[in-house]
Amino acid sequence: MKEEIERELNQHITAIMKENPQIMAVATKDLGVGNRYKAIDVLVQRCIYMWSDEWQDQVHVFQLVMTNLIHTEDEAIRARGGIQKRPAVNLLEEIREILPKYYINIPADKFEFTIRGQKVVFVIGSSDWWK
Amino acid sequence: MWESWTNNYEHSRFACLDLLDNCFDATLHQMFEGKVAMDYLPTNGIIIINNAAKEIKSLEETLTAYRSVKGSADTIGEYGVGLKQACATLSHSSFVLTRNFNRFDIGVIAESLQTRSRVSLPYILRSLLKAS
Repeated sequence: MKEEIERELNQHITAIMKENPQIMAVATKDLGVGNRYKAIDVLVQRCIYMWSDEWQDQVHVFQLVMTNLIHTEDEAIRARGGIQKRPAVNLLEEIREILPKYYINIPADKFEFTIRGQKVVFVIGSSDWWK
Repeated sequence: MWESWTNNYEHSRFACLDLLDNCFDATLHQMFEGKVAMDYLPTNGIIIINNAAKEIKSLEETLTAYRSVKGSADTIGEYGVGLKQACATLSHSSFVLTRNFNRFDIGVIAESLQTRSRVSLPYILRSLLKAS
């Protein structure tokens, strides 16, 4: 079943790209670094991930793939006075650091937030957090 | 329009926190096991993925330039205008992927698709046969 879903997703994404040259151009530039086949593959893999073991039990999944980040690079360079090779990682680490300060009363059970595979620890919320 | 979207945040981290607000709105519901994950892409990119307690609005609604899906207090913060603004602030191009049962949507928020006279936020809606 999983192989069939993967095959079907592959066919859909390939067709979508061929039918939409504007989308293909954006994906080729920013996902495929100039290579259209790589771009299609990255997009297919991102879609397949939504049906992977980790998410297959879910019925509603939202995924945002942001490429070619703008401000992180500039800000990181400004802040540290040097060239940053991995601005995306810097942004994620910054978010990991500030998240528990911005969000209080996030429930410790029934909720999981991970950054680069590691759980983010929030202050333990109250039992009526959902109100 | 694109430039106006990028003028809403003092710092890119606030754009990212706005996106995470959407994730929290979608996942923090009673009796629901919410899940949010962030990771990076080697091509200077990041990924945010979350499940949702309720059906995710179609990108047909979400990516309409002048309309938000924020229809009631219950849906405040879920994938409305903030999505476009935050994406435009953080990246030159973003791909929005949603899955509801066997249906999946793909949308694109890209600076290179915009012109002075026209906002272009293309989306495609498809259904999978095997995943039903």
